Amino acid sequence: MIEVTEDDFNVGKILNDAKHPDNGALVTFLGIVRDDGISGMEIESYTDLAVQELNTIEKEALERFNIRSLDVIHRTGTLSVGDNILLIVCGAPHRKDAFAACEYMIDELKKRVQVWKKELHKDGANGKWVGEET
Amino acid sequence: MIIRVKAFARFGEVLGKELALELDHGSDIDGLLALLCASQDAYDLIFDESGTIRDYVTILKGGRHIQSLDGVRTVLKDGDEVAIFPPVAGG
Repeated sequence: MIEVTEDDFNVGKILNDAKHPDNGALVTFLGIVRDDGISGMEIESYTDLAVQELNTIEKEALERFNIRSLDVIHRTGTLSVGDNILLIVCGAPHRKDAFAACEYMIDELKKRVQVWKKELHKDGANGKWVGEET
Repeated sequence: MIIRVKAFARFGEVLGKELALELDHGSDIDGLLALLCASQDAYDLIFDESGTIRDYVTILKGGRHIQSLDGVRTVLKDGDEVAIFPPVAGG
């Protein structure tokens, strides 16, 4: 399952759905909005392309590692500190491939997937786009 | 002809997030950028001092990077979608 959505997700349900008799390991990455003195984040995506790129990375991971499943949900919209941003659940027969594939997915996602985050200031002033150098 | 433009993150704030621009038939990406970057703020965001598109600017036509097409000479046709954005920062 690959999704880019404004909706929150139920981590427990997605983990349960990823269970399979062939899987001895489920590795999960849950990204949440960290309190860096901000009130939250605005997350924007070029959704069609982002989903396409996530599917490409998933395919690469399935080819590179001995895994059975890879689920990714990336949220968009206005999120508060503590809210879920991103969930990756990787199911594999053994833990090493599950960890490696999960790490591959998050590393490639950060480099390639068309999503942007803006930190929102507590005082309501215009925020700053993450990674912006101009 | 009408070209649909989507700009993201800071580019969207400066250029406008979703635009429908009217261009002459046969126009290319260069012509589109001239229209998009009419203001100094927009020009400075996309171009450097020598008039070259900044390294961090990605421009796609129909989901394909213009560098894999004909660069700024990529010819547009009615209804094309062009996306322009800075480096991604998801996760």
